[in-house]
Amino acid sequence: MKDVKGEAKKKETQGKETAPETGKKPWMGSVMWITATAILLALVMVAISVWSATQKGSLNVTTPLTVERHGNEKGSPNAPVVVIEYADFQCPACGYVARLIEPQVDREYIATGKVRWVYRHFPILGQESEWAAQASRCAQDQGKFWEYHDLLFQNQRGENIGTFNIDNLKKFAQSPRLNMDMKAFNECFDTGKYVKAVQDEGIEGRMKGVSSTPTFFINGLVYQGAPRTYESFKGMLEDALRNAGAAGTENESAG
Amino acid sequence: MRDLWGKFILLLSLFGLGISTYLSYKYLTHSTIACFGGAKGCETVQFSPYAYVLGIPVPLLGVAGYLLLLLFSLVRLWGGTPKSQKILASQALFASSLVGTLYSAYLTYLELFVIYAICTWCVLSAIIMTLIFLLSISLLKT
Repeated sequence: MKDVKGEAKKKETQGKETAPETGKKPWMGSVMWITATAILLALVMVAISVWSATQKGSLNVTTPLTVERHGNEKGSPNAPVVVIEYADFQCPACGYVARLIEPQVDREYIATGKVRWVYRHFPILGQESEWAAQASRCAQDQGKFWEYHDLLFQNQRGENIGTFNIDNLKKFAQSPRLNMDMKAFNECFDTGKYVKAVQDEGIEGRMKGVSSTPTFFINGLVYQGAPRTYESFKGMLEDALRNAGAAGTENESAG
Repeated sequence: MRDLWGKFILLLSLFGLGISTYLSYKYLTHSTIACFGGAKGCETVQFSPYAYVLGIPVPLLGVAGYLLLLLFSLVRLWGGTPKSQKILASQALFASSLVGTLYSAYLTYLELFVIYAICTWCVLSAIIMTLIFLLSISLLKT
């Protein structure tokens, strides 16, 4: 046995001499170990990733809390520009707006009193959209509409695949950051307190000509679909601010 | 022949490093990725909860992985490296590209079945990683 060890190096230089007793090539044993270790390492990495995603997915929304938030509106009631967004919690483009564009609008336009933002339910993607909208109204009862709104959009995973089923909607509501009275929330949801209100809001949207989500009304002007970038949305808001300024002076001189 | 495969691995690692560096830069500056061919796929993936692991952007893991592969393939190709170390370098290439391939498979699974969006850059990186792994097998036989 000693010989085998000692001559391992020699064998390499000699070339093709394999170990005939076992019938295995000498490099195979170590490769098996390497493969096993690599697979194990990959599994550990995947496990850490999965765990990390659930941690992050639960709560990590970068919306400043300085924004005034009541009901399903945020921003100063005297803001010169009003943005009304018709959206569905399951719609990916709405999620895109909520995650990518809204946080910056919050900082630059809403917290500074230039824009008031109103969220309206337009659930068109199915049962889970309606449940999610109803649950958000129940959160609104406790003044936590926006927190819940952020949480749902942060956790979008696909349409009607159980992400926003009743159990999960209650689980989201339980998140410690929301600090909601779960008894009241469950009662509100289970008794279907807002089933009709959500439907009515959808009908109201349809009557205003909304047919897809998201649809924005910026001081009355309609924009369909998600803006491609924050910059393009900013352009729309700046236009509205300019027009509001002009209209404001006109009104003053008239009145 | 084997040196040719080794050079291929070197080239592929450079490509992979380029892609993951670009993506990491975009992640760290919070800017949106130019996604060839696939509309908003990259953005959807970039802003999904799976884009970061323990706060580290996933593409940064790619940068680390491709740098390792680059290092190992340079050691292997370098004329002055003793043969025993060349073998070690080949095994290291095999092992790290296997880890990379399995992890890329997980990421591609997420794109297809969880996030429902395809990030073309990420898929390209997964293909490069798989190619490196396949090539590294041929380097193993000593």
